[in-house]
Amino acid sequence: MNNLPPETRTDPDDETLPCGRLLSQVWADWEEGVHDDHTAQCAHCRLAVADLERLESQVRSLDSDPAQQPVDATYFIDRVMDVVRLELRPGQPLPLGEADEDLRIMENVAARALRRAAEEVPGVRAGSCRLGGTPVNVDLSVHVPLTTPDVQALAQEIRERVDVTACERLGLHLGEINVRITDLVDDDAASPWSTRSPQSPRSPRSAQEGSAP
Amino acid sequence: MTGNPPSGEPPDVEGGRSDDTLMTERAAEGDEDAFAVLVRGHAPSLLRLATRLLGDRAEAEDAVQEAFVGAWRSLPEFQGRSSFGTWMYRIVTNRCLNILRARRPQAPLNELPDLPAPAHATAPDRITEGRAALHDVQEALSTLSPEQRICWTLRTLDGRSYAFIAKTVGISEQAVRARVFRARRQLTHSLGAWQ
Amino acid sequence: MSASADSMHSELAHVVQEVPGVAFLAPGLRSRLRALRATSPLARPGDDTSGITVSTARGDTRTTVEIRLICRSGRRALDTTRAVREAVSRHLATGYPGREFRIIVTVTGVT
Repeated sequence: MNNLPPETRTDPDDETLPCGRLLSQVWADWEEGVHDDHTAQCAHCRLAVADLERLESQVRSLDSDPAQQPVDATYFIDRVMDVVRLELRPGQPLPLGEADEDLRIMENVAARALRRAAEEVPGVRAGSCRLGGTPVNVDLSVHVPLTTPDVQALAQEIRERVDVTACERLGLHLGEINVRITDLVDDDAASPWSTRSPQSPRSPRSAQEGSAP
Repeated sequence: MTGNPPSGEPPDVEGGRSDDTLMTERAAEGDEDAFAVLVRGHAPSLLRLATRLLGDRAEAEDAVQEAFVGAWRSLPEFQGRSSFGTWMYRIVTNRCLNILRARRPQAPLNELPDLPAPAHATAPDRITEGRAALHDVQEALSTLSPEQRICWTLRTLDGRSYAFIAKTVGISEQAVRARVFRARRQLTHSLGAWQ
Repeated sequence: MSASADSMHSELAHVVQEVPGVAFLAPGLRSRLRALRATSPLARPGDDTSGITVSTARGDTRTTVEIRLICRSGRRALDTTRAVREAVSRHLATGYPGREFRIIVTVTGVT
């Protein structure tokens, strides 16, 4: 079925059309939107392209058949999370109150409360929050608005909120609170968590690290 | 006539959204609520992907569930070299590839089987409407090798670029092109559009 | 020992759940498995005693009682755990005179 010398064929399954063009090339040209005088006029090329177009449009119209689409993934998400909750990673126990009190809070529970505390500062979103050491040190990563006028002041505000929450809501004595700003987020980018009113635009500052003494 | 398939990446995979990054960091530290947010955000598109790749919704759900549970386990080692979405897309695709490989004795890769003409071969439009057409397509897809099927589906139905597919499956772009070509050739044959 | 341990478990479960600020005892794996299909296993109060462990290390004269619980967010976690420790300590002192106990209270969740 192929009468061209093998060196012109890159794929053993390729086929040479009666006009001499390789089928793979004709289809690749179609896919990339490449046109030339030959393809516009050659009946063989046009037929080959029409076949592929028909295939693609028909499989795509079947693909968008609603019966093939997930209607509601809620039960599926519950199913996944049920399995995940059998394999929780709560982290290490951290001392509440004085060290000899035998009262403890799991690292993840504390981290969750401290992230939420940081997010009480408008526009701040918290990511990584690691706790450990004696006394317990905090390493917190946050995203802050691009328009933050004073990043250092914002980092200080976050540290204060974290400290207050650790003391007043948990009863956890903290050592150092390190706040790392890992991204400056554009205010215009719609965020489902964004409840803050837009601030006046200022010159963007580079991300910098604010660290408590 | 349809236009050419899109070559860019839909935003649900490559869009390294700020919130996704934060939720991935939290989940890596064991915050299951953050992981639930990620699952909620990515499950619909991954289920659609796996259903396309496997042609079976129940099998797709099992594959995506296993992919998520595996991701939860390996998140502490996930360094965030790619976005969570890209990572999951890769895990699900490769899981589906393995499922397809295990599904049946593998057909010879390069061989075009000499398929008998279907009964409705004389009908003017060989690909009929609705269920029958779906059945025909699924039958035709089952004649593809797992590798061909994966590459063709990602290209044609999921609209991915050859470069993206190559990175996802872990083969060269040229190999992806060859597989997509073979799949198209075989499908146009099988579905009778060729004559 | 095992009969008295069982009754100690249910007594302590009752004592702990009466303490203000305690939401419920931490559910164990068994009840989490049972809670499959529920939206959140943490939302189901633990009706079992899986959040209580009683053990005695070899060579130790003291019995260790560990309580794992979910706190309510309205009260400082430290105050809740201290109150739990006091209530448990009081109960053990009257119910098991002459025995020494080490009491550990761990917060495994806040709701």
